[in-house]
Amino acid sequence: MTGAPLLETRGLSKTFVSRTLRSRSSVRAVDDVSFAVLAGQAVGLVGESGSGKSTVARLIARLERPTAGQILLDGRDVIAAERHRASRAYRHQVQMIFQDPFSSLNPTHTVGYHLRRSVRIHGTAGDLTRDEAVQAVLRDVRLDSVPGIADRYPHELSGGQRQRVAIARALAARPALIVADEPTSMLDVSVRVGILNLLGSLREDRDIGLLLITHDLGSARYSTSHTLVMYAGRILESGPSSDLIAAPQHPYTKLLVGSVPRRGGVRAPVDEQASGAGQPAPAAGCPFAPRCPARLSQCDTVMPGQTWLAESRWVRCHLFGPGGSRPDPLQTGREVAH
Amino acid sequence: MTRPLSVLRRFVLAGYTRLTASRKAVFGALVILCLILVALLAPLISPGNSQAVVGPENLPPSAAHLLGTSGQGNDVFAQLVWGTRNSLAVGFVTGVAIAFVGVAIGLSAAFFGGWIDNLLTLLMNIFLVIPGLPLLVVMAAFLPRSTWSVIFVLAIAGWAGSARVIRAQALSVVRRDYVAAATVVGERPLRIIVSEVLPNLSSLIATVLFGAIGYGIGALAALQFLGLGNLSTVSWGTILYWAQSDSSLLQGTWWQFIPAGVLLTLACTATSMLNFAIDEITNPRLRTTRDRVNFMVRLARRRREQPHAA
Amino acid sequence: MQPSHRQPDDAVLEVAGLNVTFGSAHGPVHAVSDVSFAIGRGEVLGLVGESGSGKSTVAHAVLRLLPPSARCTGAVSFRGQDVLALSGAGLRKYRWEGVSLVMQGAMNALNPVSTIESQIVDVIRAHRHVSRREARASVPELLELVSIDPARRGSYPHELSGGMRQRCVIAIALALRPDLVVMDEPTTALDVVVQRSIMDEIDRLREQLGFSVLLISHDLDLVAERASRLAIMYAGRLVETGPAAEVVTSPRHPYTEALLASTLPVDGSEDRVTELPGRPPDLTTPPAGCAFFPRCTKAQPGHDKELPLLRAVGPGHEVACHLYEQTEVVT
Repeated sequence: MTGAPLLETRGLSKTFVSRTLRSRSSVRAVDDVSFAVLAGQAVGLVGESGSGKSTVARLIARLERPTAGQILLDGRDVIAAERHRASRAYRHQVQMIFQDPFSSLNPTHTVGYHLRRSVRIHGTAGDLTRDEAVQAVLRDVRLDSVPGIADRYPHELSGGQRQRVAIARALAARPALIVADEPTSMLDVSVRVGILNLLGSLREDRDIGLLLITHDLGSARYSTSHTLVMYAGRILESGPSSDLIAAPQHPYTKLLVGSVPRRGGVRAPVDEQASGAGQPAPAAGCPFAPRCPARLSQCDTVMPGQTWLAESRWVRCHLFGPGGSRPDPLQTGREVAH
Repeated sequence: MTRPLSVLRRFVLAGYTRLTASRKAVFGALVILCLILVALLAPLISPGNSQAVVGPENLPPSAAHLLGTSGQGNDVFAQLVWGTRNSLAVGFVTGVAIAFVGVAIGLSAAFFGGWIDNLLTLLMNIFLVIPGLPLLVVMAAFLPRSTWSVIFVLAIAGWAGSARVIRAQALSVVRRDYVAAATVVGERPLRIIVSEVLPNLSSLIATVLFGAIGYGIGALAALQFLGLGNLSTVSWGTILYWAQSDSSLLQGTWWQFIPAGVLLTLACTATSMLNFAIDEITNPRLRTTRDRVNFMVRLARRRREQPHAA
Repeated sequence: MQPSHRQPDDAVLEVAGLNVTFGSAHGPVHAVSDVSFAIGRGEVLGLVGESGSGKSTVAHAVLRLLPPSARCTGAVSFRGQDVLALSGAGLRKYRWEGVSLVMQGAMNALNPVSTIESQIVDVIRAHRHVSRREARASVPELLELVSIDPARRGSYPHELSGGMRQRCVIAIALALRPDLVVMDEPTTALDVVVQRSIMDEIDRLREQLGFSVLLISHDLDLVAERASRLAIMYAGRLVETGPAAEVVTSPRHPYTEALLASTLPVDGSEDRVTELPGRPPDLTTPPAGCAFFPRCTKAQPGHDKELPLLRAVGPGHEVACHLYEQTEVVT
């Protein structure tokens, strides 16, 4: 289907239910999430821990099954077509990088093994032998200068090197989309930029889409062109990265941006009430209402819909009106007919 | 550039060095090896039929009969030597069977989760709750008297403990990111179980194996002592059975039961020692300072001898 | 080595020439080499470094929490007392009444089967001879101090959010009103919003109770915001120390510059962002010269031959770098 985005989610939801003998509790980790990633585009999904962003990543990587909603790859509804298990074709298109560079590599296997498997499963060696293909992908992630790297075990590498191996493994499958779940949060500060630069250059050279999950606004701003802000399973604001971070509209986004330590020392004061956290999200209405300094009466009962502020910029907040148009994942500002 | 073979050699060297540095491991391994040798060389050590009547009953140890004669007139030493075969063989086979079943069931329960896990755990719990020895007795009483049914009975009574241990550890391994990563890369479930999860349980499986072998040797002897084993074979357990039925304890003919008891104890202790040693190798907190010093000194020495391999 | 030339009369903690070496299978690891600094009353000193820089080891050395295989030389004195020579009752008094510690990931180290009240009571009774009732009486005040509702004293750690658990840990650290609190990555596992409220809380408590803080982190911006002075560590050594604002706006050491340049700003000044390739050196064989040499963009031949010494480049501002050879050595 031409013109369709590379990846699109519509109303994606995931509810975790825990059943004990006496009680049953459910947590809506992801609630009605809709967005799109175009080929070669980098989209950032920003939120705190518990916001559901990692669950979104796992849903797209098909490690979990959504409770509701659709995932479309190149316009094709993936969940409907492959209900129980992701097909090899899907795995070929969508790869994932995990947060912890140590636990994402099997300690009993060498670097070469990890990469060979990826090449073998997806048959991406082409004219090269498998070992040559492994060397090629190591070159792509700039690890070829490390002597004997293919025969090393993960524990012999630094955090940054391991994360490059994880990227190489994803790359060896020649995917169209890479989902990166906090790829730099467990790395040293001086190493983070290198990894983000690597992802950026790979994206540009090969037109790979990137969904970057992070809690660090600075990374989102640096690496992505479009950012979505997530809170308690819902997307509250969406827009071009630099614009959204420079001029946040939603009270939660303002709180996030205002809490980042500033070098200059100049900071906007943060509302006291908003800092008090720890309460579970209410069942109805806006999940941020209990902490919001600008809370209105309808915030407790009605979930605000989308309000478009500009082309590809929208916010879900009663301060901007009740909204209500169906979310347009392409972020183009047009009403979606349905 | 290091080749895979030299990487393997390095790994084996470190493992061997660790094992030999641990006094427990050395003791256990030596004892087991000696017993295996005895079993293999039985025809050389004590030629002839061990169940033949060679003289008057209840003779004390002498030059002609190193450990005297039994209540039936058999040479006790010959019985002991030949009996090692049965005891060790059945013990090993039982151990391997239990480890195999335990790993298969424990891994499946952990990996698949859901109703499969619930069902298998229920099964494990049932077999754990049923008292072992009575179960052994009841099953042995019903089944035909052969070595294979003995192995079967021992395995049925003993698999659940190993399965539970494997399942517990596998549960934590299955939740690691590298298993999820393997799924995302596109590996099939069976391949993930065998190639990703299993290698990370290898030390636990080794421990379970040695524990099961020790159990096999001991429980076999218990069954045979109660007269429920295959009485036509010669084994440490049957020696004890005949000693009991011939009232050796009352008669004071100690050579008819003490040597068999000693060998049994040695064998089980040796497997336990190997068990602990493997635990120590994999769990650094259990290592003693002496083992550590030994290991470091030896590794340094070996590295000096083979600098290119280090 | 000599201690820093800045010796405030009211120095709460003075560290001079601290060296810490660990034994390992590959040989001795020189985790900390020749580190000297002083913390004054009510002051916040920020110790910044990445993994392997030795900053956590310094914290453990100050509290005498190093493992038995560690060799520690140098001088650590707390209000004139030699810390490294303490033992028995003196050591127990020093720990927690003199200096307390908020460890990395401490909020996950709270005993999961014990209420926060009983954990606070345990700490109090471990150091002071008071009855259980007396200890329990001081719990509500302590919880209020860290803005936790005293009604939650009977809660278990898993019933509290990450931020509240960290506040509990801080309450435990302040239970005996120490003069110095060492905080090792106090907000790393927390979200930026909670992080800010915790740091604000610490500032408020510091003003209220007057204790000093040794704040250890890899987040330069976070530390620069809260500390009056910074000390940057690399490969076990101090490479730059000075007033926080000055170090951050005009860094001298190339590593400090690289660190500043690799943080991703939120305010759009990302033209300054550059990569820092390579890795810190292996501390089992520390290099003879400058440890940062292989990764330094301003390196000159010969810098790797000799160890650079800390030299003053401004009031209270010192750098250990051969590029600043012209200035005087710190005595």
